[in-house]
Amino acid sequence: MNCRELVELVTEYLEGTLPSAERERFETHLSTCSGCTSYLRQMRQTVLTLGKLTEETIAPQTRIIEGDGDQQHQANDDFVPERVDVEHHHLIL
Amino acid sequence: MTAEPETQGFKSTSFSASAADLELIEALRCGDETAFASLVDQYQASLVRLAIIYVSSQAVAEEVAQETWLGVLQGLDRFEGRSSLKTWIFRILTNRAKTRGQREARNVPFSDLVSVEIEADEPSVDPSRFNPPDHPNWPEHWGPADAPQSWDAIPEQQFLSQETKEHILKAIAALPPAQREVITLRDVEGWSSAEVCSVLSLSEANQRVLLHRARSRVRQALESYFGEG
Repeated sequence: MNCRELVELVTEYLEGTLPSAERERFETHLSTCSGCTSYLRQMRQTVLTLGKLTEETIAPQTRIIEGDGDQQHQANDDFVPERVDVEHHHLIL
Repeated sequence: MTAEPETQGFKSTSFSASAADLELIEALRCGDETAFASLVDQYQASLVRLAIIYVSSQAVAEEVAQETWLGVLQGLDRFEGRSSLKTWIFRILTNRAKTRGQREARNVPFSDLVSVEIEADEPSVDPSRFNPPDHPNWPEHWGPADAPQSWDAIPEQQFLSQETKEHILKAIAALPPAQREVITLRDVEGWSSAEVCSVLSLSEANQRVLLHRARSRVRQALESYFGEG
């Protein structure tokens, strides 16, 4: 496997859908190629950062919380996306 | 997640409504306002983030989200639980948003776009960064000056700074629509592959291609951005 091939397989690798023989070639190449190791790491960091976009406010959702008398509080959107993809989570991290 | 065989074209959902979903539907049918309010709280921001892919502005995206909630309430009696509540709600959203987007003459029918996007070839990395196939020592490997650098030295504060996030958001907004849909739901919203395929009517394979391309572009945008710093 060469680097050009590897970069096209990165998503399948992270998804866990690479057939085992190909995955072995992928990992063997990684073990000797610092460029591809960096690339995979960048990809993981990109995905991680995408997952954190909603932790701060992108489009602030303010909501008036009732029952506070004269004071009005604003709650920012702290919705954390569901991580249903547990099976793949360990690959990404 | 169960590994399901590839089916041609649209793959039916592997999820049906959970017991919690069905309880919630019952509560909504009984007019439980608190239940409705918490449902809105849970999904409103995500609905808007998805809607904005299809329409012209934040304001219109919020209108579409409102229309979606109306559609949810109106459709309560018809919900059969064959899909999860979440995928049902978001299908209503994508239908409304696409209709609205077309009315705004913002985009062509999405189904056309997806097949065009998938069929076009799109390398993940600029091909000039690799040695040619006839290179004597390292064919098709990263060229000496072109290998990706480590980002480990970048402090986390910078990684998660508002400025970096805005850059990522711009990169996402610049994606072709189908790529944008997939990366938004998968990576920004954290949905599973099966849920995304269900709501967007994509095969697993197509979804993966779109995700791959979208991630590649965003990674490239980040690499360029950090490279300038």
